[in-house]
Amino acid sequence: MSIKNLKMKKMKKQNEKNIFYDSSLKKRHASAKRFKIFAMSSLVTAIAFLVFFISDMLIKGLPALQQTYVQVEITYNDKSMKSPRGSVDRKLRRIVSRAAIREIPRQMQNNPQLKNTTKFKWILADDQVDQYIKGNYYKLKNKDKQKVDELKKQNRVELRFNSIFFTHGDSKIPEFAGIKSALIGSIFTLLVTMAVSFPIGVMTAIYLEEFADDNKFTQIIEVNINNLAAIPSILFGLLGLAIFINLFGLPRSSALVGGLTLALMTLPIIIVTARAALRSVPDSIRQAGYGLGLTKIQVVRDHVLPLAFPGIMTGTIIGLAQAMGETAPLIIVGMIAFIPDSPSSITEAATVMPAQIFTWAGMPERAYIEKTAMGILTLLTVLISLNAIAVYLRKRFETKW
Amino acid sequence: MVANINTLNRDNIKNITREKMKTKINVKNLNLWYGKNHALHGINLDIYKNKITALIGPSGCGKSTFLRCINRMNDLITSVNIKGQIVIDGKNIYDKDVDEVSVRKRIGMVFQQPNPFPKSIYENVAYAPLKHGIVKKGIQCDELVEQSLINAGIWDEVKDILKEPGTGLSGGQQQRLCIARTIAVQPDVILMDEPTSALDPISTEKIEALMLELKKDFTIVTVTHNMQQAARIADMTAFFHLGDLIEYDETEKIFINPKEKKTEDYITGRFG
Amino acid sequence: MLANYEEKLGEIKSEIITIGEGLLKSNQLIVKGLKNCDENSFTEAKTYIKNVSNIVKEIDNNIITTLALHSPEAKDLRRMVSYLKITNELLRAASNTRNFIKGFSEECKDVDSKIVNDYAIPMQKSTVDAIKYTVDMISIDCVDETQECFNKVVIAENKTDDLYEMIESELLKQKPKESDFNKFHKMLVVLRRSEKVADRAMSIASLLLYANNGGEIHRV
Repeated sequence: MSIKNLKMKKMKKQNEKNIFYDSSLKKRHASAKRFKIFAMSSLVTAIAFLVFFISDMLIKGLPALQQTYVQVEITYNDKSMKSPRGSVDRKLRRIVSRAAIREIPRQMQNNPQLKNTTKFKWILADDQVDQYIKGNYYKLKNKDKQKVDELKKQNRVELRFNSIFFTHGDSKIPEFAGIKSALIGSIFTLLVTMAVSFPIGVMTAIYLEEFADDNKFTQIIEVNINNLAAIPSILFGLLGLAIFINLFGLPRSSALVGGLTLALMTLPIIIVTARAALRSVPDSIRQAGYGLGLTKIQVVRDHVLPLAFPGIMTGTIIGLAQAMGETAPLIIVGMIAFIPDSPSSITEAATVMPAQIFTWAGMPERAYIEKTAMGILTLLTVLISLNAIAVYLRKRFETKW
Repeated sequence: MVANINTLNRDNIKNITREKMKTKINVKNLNLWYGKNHALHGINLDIYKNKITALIGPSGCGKSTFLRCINRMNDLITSVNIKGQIVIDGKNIYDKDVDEVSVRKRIGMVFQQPNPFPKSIYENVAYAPLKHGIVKKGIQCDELVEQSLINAGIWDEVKDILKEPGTGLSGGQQQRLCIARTIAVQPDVILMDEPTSALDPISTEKIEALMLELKKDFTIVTVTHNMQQAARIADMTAFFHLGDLIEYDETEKIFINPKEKKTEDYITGRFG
Repeated sequence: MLANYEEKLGEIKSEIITIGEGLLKSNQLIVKGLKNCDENSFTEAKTYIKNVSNIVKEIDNNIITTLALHSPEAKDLRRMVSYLKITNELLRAASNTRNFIKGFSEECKDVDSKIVNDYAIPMQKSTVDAIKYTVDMISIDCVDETQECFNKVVIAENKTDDLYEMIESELLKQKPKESDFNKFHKMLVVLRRSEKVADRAMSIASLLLYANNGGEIHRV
């Protein structure tokens, strides 16, 4: 006790000599530290959620990169042409994918040499077999299960890289379902969106910022544009339905309609960011331009726009990345339909990746779970790369200034 | 070489009488309103050719506003209302048939904060002359750029780095680049709005020396809040106060024998 | 330094030198006149100090203008202020010279030629030296040279003083009669003018020493 007292007395004496000693500082430092810990824990929580989500997706989705193939004997003869199911041994029929069996007549047509031969081929296995091999819940009859185990012992079962996922569109046959048509549909839609919203948005922003007078009318317009950015996206879908499909009679479910709807949605965002970018250009540049006897167009086009360009680019890409992930308005416009083939033009029916993911999430078969997760990962990859392009472009143009 | 006391010729002494100076700009009863605020009250002023005219006065007295009237920069502000005439070489620049862009081709402006374009030094100087069609791209343009940079006193410092961005120069160099850019357009008049207030003393001196050189080819009107600068370089000085032109005379007279009490109070620092 | 400021400083300096050299020439001609006792030299001497007051006015105005417009500092400020005071001295030196010429040309024939040759001429020569070194000082910048020159001026001025005293005692030795007293008195008064010019030269030199080397403006 006395030692503690002595120490306290010593410190008190030291503090009296020290002209910089402030007794309130201790409390203030302590509260600052508490705040720091609180902020850090919020950050950690947010990161934890993110990590949890990503790891869950990865765990569910990565198995989709592999698909089960079995080696069976296929008989190519006239009977197989008429009834392909017959080309495979009866016991193995349920183990093999229906999609693969469908292919057999065509194979025989393309390759006449195959006629009247029997070959051992590696073909796609049924989705339940696939689930069984991957260790998930499966619905195989005991007979079939035993057959599979047998084949496994004979090393006639293997997991291969699932290229089908990236080369085929949606299918009712789970093992044959892929994301390609959705990807192409997304790209077409995005192209339409970009082609429509970027020029209109940037031009509007330039007009509002540089040419319009600063009166009540323009202020009202500005407020309304900001409000538009906050409207729930599903309402844009209804707008698209009413105008583009009913009024203009554009083909339903096409990338054109989807793109136009998304363009309406992205327009306010582009206008707002473009205006902010234009506003961030210092006024001294414009003054210098006018002082030299340049016209407004010359000043805006040659001096203000190049400076504002990085900001506009970033805003546009972020807006487009957002558009890529939109589902609700596209559902109203009809892009939720079942589209197995990739669209070849913007007026053909198409689907987009988020819609595809939504569809797969609602399918009963178990195999679609991993496909859903893989679809999510694909979508995330595309979004992240778009953002990375935005960052790169911004950095590249920023060094010049 | 000292002359004999009797041969010192009185006429050689540089006492320029005002009648011998040519008028370049004639301001007649100029009034300006910012919305309801009457900022300039009936200004009458003659600016003489190839002379440096300085506008001095306390903050907010309207000298910058007046300066910006001369090249119609105030037209860019929507709430501004201007009445009166500014006659340059016989034509009132506020006439209906005069395009403000063409006014600014003949009357250049240098601003308080150096504001080179974010382009290369070469392009900074070359952009406006090319756009106005003064020179064609190629050797003609190169020569104009070189001559302008020489006349602005910055050629030796930048001749090897013409492709570098203009914003990479120091403050004083940037301001001289802006001056080079302005004279490349070959104006008659150069307006300078506190050109050295953002610069250090050495750069300031360089630019003041430059202005003394430039007045041989251009008419210069400058606003300065530093009266000593006006004393050092200006031929004529105008004192503004709260939107009125109080006194306008040769700089010597203003600083040694001001006629108005307000002028005297300002110059001696009795009000700020 | 701005070109117009430099020009102004140069102009003022050269105008001061102009007056100085005029003064010098005038006093040199006086020496000649004393030697030969001829009117022409004295008349010519007068022409060299004719316009002094006009030039002095101009110098003063120039100095005021320079102070107002260019705010000189340090050496430039000391120079300007010195020059402002120097013009006064020059004016009075010119006046003294003029009075000497006027007075002497009246009395020249009466004065004892021995006094003239032995004392007046050396005294005037000394005065000329003092003026010469002073005029040289105007053009010098270097501190050491300035001090040297100043010393020379002091020596010349002291010599002039001594010579004047000797003239005084010589004249008194001659034990003039009462009727001649006026004549001798006038002689002394005239010769004193030459001594005053040397005094002025020393004042000017002292101000120039302050201008170049600094310190206090009122020395000694």
